[in-house]
Amino acid sequence: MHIPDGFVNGPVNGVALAISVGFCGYASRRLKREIDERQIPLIGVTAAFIFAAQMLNFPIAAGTSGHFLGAAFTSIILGPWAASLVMALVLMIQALGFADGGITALGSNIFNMGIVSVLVAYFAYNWLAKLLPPKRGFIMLSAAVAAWLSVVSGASMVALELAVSGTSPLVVVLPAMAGIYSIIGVGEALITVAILGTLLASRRDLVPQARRMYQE
Amino acid sequence: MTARKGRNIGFVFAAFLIAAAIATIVSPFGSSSPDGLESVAEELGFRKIAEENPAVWDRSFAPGYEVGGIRSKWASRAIAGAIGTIFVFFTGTGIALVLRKLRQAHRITEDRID
Repeated sequence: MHIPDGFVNGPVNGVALAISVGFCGYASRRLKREIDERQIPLIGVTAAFIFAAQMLNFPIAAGTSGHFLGAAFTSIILGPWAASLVMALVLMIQALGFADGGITALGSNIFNMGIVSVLVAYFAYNWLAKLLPPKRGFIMLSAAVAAWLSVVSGASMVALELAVSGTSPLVVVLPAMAGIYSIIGVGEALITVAILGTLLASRRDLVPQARRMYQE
Repeated sequence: MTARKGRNIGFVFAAFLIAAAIATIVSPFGSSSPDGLESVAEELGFRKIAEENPAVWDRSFAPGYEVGGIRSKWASRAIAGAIGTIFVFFTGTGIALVLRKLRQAHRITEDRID
């Protein structure tokens, strides 16, 4: 989903960059207020894990591959502020060090995967997990839905940016992007559930909404 | 408290090793097919934009997760993955540490005002 240079025009990238810088600034202030000692290495290791997992592409239909995005997992575990900063950091290092995502499209990439995907997943997970009975299966279902939505919403934002830039008409590019990423989103949901399941078994204190499972 | 802290460090270390293993050992076995966006770009005919224009930033140390000058593609990707994972871990932890320090500084000033 990393946009290379040239796909999205200057004004769109500029607006996205301004929003991303502003949002990350706000996220830093919020995180500064909320962060506790225990979270410090968790933030580092989650970022490292997202970077590593994004290197692993899994095949989907018709000569196409997808990879784990991690916005949903990160926002569930670390909350939206730390998650946005983690995603922005990973995207920045990928663009600068690994030519993954164009440097001119960095603002758009952070906006799509570090803000839209993160917020959509965060609200979807917490809203669903609170609504549903506090059972392991429902927590997993909430995470799966959040993960799928995070990928499809991010991909839809890419389509919107491509359309506004005049690269491809919205009526063509939106169904194409949403379609292919709704398949990749299933992979995202499966991986998110697998990791979250491992955490629920070993460190359930790290999983928000899981505490209710044992209180009631 | 100390027991819990020890457990946290052990957990972080284990998670880091898993991340490093994915980046170095597992990722070379991943699919090299185009990703979703590349595939859509190909289908709708705008992938050529990326192919015709060189990347604006051309000083990446490992473009496409391949370190230059290494014959084995596998080793090249593994080294890029290892360096990247370590670098992301330390910058991520560093940012969190700085935010934590800023909060403490902020609190001290607030206390003085009070």
